[in-house]
Amino acid sequence: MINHTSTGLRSLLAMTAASLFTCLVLLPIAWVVQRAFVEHGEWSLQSYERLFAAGFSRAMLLSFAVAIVATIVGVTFAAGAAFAMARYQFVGRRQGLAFLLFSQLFPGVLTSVPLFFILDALGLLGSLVGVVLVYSSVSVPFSVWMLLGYFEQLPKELDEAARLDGATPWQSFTRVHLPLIRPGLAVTALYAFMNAWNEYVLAATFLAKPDRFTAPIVLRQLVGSFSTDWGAFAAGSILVSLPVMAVFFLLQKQLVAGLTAGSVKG
Amino acid sequence: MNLAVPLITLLVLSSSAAAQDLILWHSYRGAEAQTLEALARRVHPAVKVVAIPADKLSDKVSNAIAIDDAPDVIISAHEKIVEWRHGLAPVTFGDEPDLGVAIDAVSRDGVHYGHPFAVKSVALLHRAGRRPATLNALARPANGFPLGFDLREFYFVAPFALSLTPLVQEESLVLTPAMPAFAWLRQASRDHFIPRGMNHAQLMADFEAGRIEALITGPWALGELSARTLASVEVSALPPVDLAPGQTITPRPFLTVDAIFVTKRAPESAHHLARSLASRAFAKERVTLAQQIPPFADSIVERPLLLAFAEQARSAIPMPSGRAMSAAWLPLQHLVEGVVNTNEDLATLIAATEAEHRAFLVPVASRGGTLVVVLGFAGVAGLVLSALRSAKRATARRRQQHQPLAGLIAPATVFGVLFVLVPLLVGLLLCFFDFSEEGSGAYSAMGFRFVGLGNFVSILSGTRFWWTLFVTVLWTVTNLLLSVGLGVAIALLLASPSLPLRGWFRVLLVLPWAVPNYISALAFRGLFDVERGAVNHVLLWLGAAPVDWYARFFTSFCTNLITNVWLGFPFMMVVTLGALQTIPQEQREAMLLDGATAWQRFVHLTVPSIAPVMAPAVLLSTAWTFNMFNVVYLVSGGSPRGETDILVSEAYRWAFERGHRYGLAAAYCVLIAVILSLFMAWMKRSKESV
Repeated sequence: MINHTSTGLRSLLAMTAASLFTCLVLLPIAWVVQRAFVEHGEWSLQSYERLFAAGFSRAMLLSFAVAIVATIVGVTFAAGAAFAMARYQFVGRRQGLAFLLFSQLFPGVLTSVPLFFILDALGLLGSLVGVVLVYSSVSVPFSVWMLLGYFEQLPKELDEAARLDGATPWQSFTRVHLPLIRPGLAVTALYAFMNAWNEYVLAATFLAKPDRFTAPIVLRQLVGSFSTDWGAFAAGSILVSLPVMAVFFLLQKQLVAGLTAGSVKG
Repeated sequence: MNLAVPLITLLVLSSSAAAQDLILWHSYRGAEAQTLEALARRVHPAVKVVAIPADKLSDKVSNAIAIDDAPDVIISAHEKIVEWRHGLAPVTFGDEPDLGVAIDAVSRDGVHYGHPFAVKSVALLHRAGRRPATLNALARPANGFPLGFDLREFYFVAPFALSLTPLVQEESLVLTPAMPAFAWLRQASRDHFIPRGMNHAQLMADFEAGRIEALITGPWALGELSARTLASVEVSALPPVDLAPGQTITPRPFLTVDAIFVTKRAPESAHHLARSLASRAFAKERVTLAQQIPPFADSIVERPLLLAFAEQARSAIPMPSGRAMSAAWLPLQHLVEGVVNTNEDLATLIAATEAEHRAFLVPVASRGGTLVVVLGFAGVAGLVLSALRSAKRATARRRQQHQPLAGLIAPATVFGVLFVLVPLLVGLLLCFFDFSEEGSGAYSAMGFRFVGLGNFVSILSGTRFWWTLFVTVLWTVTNLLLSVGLGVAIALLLASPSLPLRGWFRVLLVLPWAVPNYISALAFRGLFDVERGAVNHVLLWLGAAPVDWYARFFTSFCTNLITNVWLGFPFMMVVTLGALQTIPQEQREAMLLDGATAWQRFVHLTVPSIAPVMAPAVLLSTAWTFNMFNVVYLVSGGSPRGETDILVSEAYRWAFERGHRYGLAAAYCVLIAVILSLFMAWMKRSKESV
């Protein structure tokens, strides 16, 4: 009996603490929602009308296309490299691993100016293809590093078994190893996607034509130096956040399992 | 996954931009942008009118001119002509503007480099029929302020200083003559004569509501007023102000002239477009549709409000151009912050501002050049030797090589080398050079000068770096403690079986992580606003005094910290939740049977079990926090006076806000990398020794 009451009390306490904290955490989000839907004290969708008049729907579509392609290309390439590095010894493996870490130490400010001139030399300045190439490569080191952990966790006997069955490294990669690290792929892809989806500085430096602007550029355009359309900005913020939130909800399980699994190796 | 849809979208959208024979860049928004586009189309149907975000326009033009890929026509404020001059074509006016100052602004050594398009300067917006004789005579509305302008932007403060000092003289800032003006501003903000910390939108709202008697603002504000208010206001040139008994000045604002520039390679049709857009014939339309002030007096005779702005423009001072001015904005903003928010002696503040400005412009002295060259050769030799050695080993092991591996590694390698390694190496080379846009003499044609270790000597010998390093370490440590602490606590709460609706809480609490961080940062910036921020509203409601969050180091640092912990704790929570699942259930039950308290179980079982799993996440988060640019740059923006800047935002400012000092920025980046790698090495060693 006593035990029963204390459980009830405890669950009440936990519930109160969790609710209070959650409310506190959600306040800033509530503020953004209010800015987006309330204008001059009443509910309205005018913010969205102004937002779409500024070309936001195309920008969202483009951002989505850019982020998806960059994620797929980047993670595919990274998976191949991570698999090879985790399972085989070859010349340059050690140097490659060292470089992966090395490249992560430097802030992006350092590379933005040289990247501009490289894209120009390739004739890709101002094109979305150039942005996709940059996004996919920038995410490669981090993705390789994450996937490395997942591949290393798979037992060595797996390779042996695949080899005895006559599988080439490529076959054992695609048929045996990749399917086994699916949660890791999902988490890595999510990171790569978020990076590309939210990136502003490089996109604003490389892209010049408004019909190629990505969503963050259009959003920043709304925040002017002398006047700011906070309503439209908030409206756009919500639209930009939704896809990431959706992916988060869909991948909740893999995200938790994946992150810890991947991090065990240290 | 299906690749086809996004790929096709990309291809279609990239090819849809068929050959357009003229390209025009500008940074207008709203009605101004629409009007410009319509007029440009009328002159030249095949023109591509491109709006660039205002903060990126000048960098993009500079870059485009550097690689000889500039658009045909650019509309921008006139100050940039010194930097861009070598990329611009001289122009001949179609209709000669009446406004002499506007012509001066676009001309150098008797050559016109652009067509004056619209003039902009601030003036006084006040209630009709209530023009004050002096600014001091403005009436105070109930619960309001007599005068309003954005006290955080030097642009709006400038009118008071500019009638006392030329501001920029021979590359240096001259501020001492304007001391009485700064003293008056300090007193006016103390007396609540002028509100502090209100941005344009808030000032406009208060003016509409009658809580501010008059505003110092520009013509762009007219388009934002409601029709009712617009009918009951007037604009006047800024009236005199009594700074002190016996000292009266007439404020003179900055004049900016939006000009139409034509670039060197542009065809004759571009000149035709520029002349037509700037012509008297289009002026009326621009006045009506876009509230712009063309440099033709007769175009605005029927518009008394714009006429008053134009009148003010006649006595306004053209904004100085050149790098001395572009490097002055940050120090001047720091000065205004110091004047308004602190009690520091004005002479000290002015001296500090002038010194800060000098430091931004001073060329880096060449130091240790020979050492760099020798070390560089040694490094290259070492690399070659090690490559030879590994090639030798490779030949020995060739038999064990897996040929098909190449296919797996090659794509990542090619991408990595081209877009990660090469930019990194080029960036690293930059740290041995000093860059100057207007460089001449010792600077190469592209503006670079080899200075050896000069950048490092210059950074490490100043106090600024050491303060920023201290702030960065403080920032990283406090963030980690709070977000790990909060993350673990919440995860334990969510993991306890006695909590109902656990799944829901988990989903809701992950939200801050899912919102793009630049959006959260801008939202928090608004929440902590001094006059209108939600946080201060709550404080007032609770009976506490509102806090001017960005005015002091501690509170400003806290706004960054709160924002980043809000962003960062969900990651730690998710990691902890995962780690908690790795705790062996049997051990938990054994401890429960032994009668261990919750605290004992936490210390002796939970912590040791989750620590190894969480260590990599904490390490990762350390590196992220150390370089968390978006939060620091967008929330506190370094306020007060750059004190809350961290190393990475400092590097960004050297690269883009202090006259493009790429060399100093690169040196900062190298120092960041060195510090981070020392930290990682230390972590690894302490982990091994445990």
